[in-house]
Amino acid sequence: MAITQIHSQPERQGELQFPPAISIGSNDVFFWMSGATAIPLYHMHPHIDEECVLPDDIWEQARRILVTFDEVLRFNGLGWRNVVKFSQFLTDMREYDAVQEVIAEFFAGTGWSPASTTVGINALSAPGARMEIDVVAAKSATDQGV
Amino acid sequence: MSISSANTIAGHDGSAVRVTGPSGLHFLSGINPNPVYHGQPMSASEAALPSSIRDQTELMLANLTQVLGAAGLGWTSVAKIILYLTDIREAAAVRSAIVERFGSDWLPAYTTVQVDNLVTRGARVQLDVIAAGPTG
Repeated sequence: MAITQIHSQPERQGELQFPPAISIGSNDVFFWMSGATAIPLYHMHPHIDEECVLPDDIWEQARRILVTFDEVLRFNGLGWRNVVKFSQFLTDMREYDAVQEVIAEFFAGTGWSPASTTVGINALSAPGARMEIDVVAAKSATDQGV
Repeated sequence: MSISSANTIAGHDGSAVRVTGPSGLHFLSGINPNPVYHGQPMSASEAALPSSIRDQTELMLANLTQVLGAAGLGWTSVAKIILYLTDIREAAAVRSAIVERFGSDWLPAYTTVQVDNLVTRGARVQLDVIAAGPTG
């Protein structure tokens, strides 16, 4: 399977945290993951207060989200190297840089970063949630490991 | 690999796109009016944008042209666009500029949403793109 980064100006690739695009070869399996906020992955519906009380701290919220995806990736035999696309939804764009630092911690050592898009939005499904991330991942149909 | 229109009403764009046969997919990072390559964080000159939605759209489409070209893709490779606007009243102006680039024979599946903010101050428009085509 070929999951590769596309750079339109390869000589400047060190400047970007995320590449302009990712390409995925044929014969691959895609994983479209549900968006995660900082509340527990498995939670009651309708939402209950005990699960939805979140720390204000954006670093902690970001870390909880990435731990959730780490769990989902591992369960599917995937790692961070398999992630092809992040969509980041922030309720306060001033927190953008802090969120990117936490994301970089999780990709550290992989030599990889996915394509990424960020938008500022009004509200999320849990009260107090400051951000949500949506993830697409891919692996070869014959690849059992990561 | 073939990418074709799967519209519910012939001649109308935007309801669906069908990708068949062996093909790779390309997930593009958000395409903004700012330079594709920029400092982290962006310098003041990289972050500076014209206020006109037309001008911002032209800068954004030039960036899209650059990234599609780097992936060996053309406009007819684009399967899906999500258009983010900070003011939904500008949707028609942006859409007409996009349609102009795609020409008369192709439009991807298309979603438009209004958002509160984009990454750079003053940015009014951003594109998210998924394309299908041969991969290396």
